[in-house]
Amino acid sequence: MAQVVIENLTKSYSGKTGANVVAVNRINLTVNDREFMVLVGPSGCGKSTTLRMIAGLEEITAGTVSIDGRVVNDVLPKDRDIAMVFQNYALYPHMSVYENMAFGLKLRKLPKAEIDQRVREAAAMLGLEELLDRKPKALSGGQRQRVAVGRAIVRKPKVFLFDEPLSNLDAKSRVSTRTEISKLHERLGATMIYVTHDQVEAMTMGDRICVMKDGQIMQVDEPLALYNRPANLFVAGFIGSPAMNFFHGSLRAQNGEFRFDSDKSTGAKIDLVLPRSTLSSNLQSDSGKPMVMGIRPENLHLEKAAVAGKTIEAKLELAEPMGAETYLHLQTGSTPFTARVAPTGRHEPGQTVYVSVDSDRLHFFDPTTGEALRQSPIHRTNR
Amino acid sequence: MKRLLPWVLSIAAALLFLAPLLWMLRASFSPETQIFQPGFAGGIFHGSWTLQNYADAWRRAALGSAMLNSLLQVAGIVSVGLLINTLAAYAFARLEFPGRELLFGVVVVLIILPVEVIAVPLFFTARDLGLTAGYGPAMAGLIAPFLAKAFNIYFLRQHFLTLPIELEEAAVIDGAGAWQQFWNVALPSIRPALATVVVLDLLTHWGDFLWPLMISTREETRTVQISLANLFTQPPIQWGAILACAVMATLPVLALFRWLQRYIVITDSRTGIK
Repeated sequence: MAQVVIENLTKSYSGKTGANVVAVNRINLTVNDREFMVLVGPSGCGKSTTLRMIAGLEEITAGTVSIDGRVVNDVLPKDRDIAMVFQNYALYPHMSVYENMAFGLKLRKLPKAEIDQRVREAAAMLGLEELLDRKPKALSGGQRQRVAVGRAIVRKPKVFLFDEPLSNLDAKSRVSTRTEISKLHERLGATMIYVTHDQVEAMTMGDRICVMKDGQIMQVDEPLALYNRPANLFVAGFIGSPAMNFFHGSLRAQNGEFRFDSDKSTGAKIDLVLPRSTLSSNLQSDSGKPMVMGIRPENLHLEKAAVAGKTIEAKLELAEPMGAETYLHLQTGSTPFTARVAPTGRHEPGQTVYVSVDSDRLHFFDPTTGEALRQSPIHRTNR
Repeated sequence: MKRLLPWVLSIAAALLFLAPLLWMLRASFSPETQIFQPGFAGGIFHGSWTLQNYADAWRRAALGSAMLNSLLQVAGIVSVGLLINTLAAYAFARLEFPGRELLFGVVVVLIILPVEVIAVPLFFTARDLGLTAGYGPAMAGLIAPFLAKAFNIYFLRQHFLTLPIELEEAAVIDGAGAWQQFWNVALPSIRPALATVVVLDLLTHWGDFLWPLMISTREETRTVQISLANLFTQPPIQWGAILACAVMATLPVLALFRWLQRYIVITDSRTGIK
């Protein structure tokens, strides 16, 4: 198995207007041996382009891709020792499941007996034994994707590349195939790079997640670290569902304690007292400057009545009962936000509610750069 | 009744179109004197039957060698043409090279050019190349002008374009070179389109008249259509033999069409793709 190292990787091309479009901009990333790395980001962030450059399907404009210590920029895809699973499966329609899986091995002129052994092993691993003689058109979406994975497995590659492999599946197959791929990673112990736009897939599957936006890497970290310590506003808003709530305002020191006042122009009525212990000294020194406070929906709690300095008054716009929990879509001034609460009690749109915050679970960001301001000491101990 | 009406109408329409063919078939088995008797068309099951017309036609039109020539001509055009046209179409669909769009525009323009327009210059070219002299050259002359066909290139290119590029990318990762991507993946994925091209070419070139008439100046290089036409002009004019010859000229193409029809099925090229 292998380590994949990306250094200053850039992809640019001429757009329709002739202007130079930079799809991937000088990114650096190391995917460790046997690691499951997820590249996640919105459409057009460059994640698929990055994967395709690793695969050799896309020419590299600048920078290098190394697999197992060897720069592979000029190496043909077939000689990179990689296998790729495509979003639309890309099974050869005129070949049976067996032939689809054996095709790559035949091209490599492996002995027939070995091809047969590898195909049957992979088929057994993926529960495809009964389907080996079928054509792709006689398979369900989930089965087709398993065949596509099987076609990758038989090659025994150093690196597996997945390009949004679950996007075309229905919700149920998506969950089961997700689990299968994770189990497969455990079993094969292979290096896997997995592209998705779905942050739930990223969180549940990845050993580490690389969040991308506009051709650049926003943050690379373990799933919970990303969730608990987002490096910037983008990551904070992208990872987590429902998304993190943001309030514009500033910190103010008063009588030995700190208060967060919302920006009056937003009409939000937020005046929260924050214990000094929850704020790092650096953050305390930023008091008075404008900043963005982030609160995850699960760190908001419904209260029966207003408590000065502890609660936010808001209007309930909509309640979404999910069964195990209820999402309350709230608004204070012109700022919408969401709370994730226990599925008890009745919630009527238009009613006024009071929510308290876990003051030790707050995030602060620079409104200009979007960068996270240094976290509170408690956050750091939660690592 | 409502469900019956469309059936009745369809059968009536089919009979209307089949009537001349049925007449031709019946007349080909009738003695010469019986064909033009009044009321023959109404008495399809009456009168006497004979195979003499077929024997006469086979002998007078030298149908054995004519059929072989036509088969060779069509087989050559279809097989070699398929290879040339699919390669050109694939290049237009998938390869990037300077002037591609312009060249393809030229191909599209060529579609509207009928063979009659270029027949004369084509003939002189063929003659200068020595393709009118001798059996082998004449057969080559029958085939060569129709190998590269603008419509087929256009039609096949459109089908290659509908193939998801991921199929070939998967093949690249599997280790396929350019030829293997074309031969093992792209080509089999457009089989219905290939069958369509084969059938159209078969029908067109089995019925070719003008070009074979110009190029096959000797008896041994005549094709079926030329031999059939000769029966109209060489006395004595035997209508029974002419009709028998027409039936025999139709049979191979009907059989081939029936055989290839099953390949013209709903495209399955996208079934490996969501």
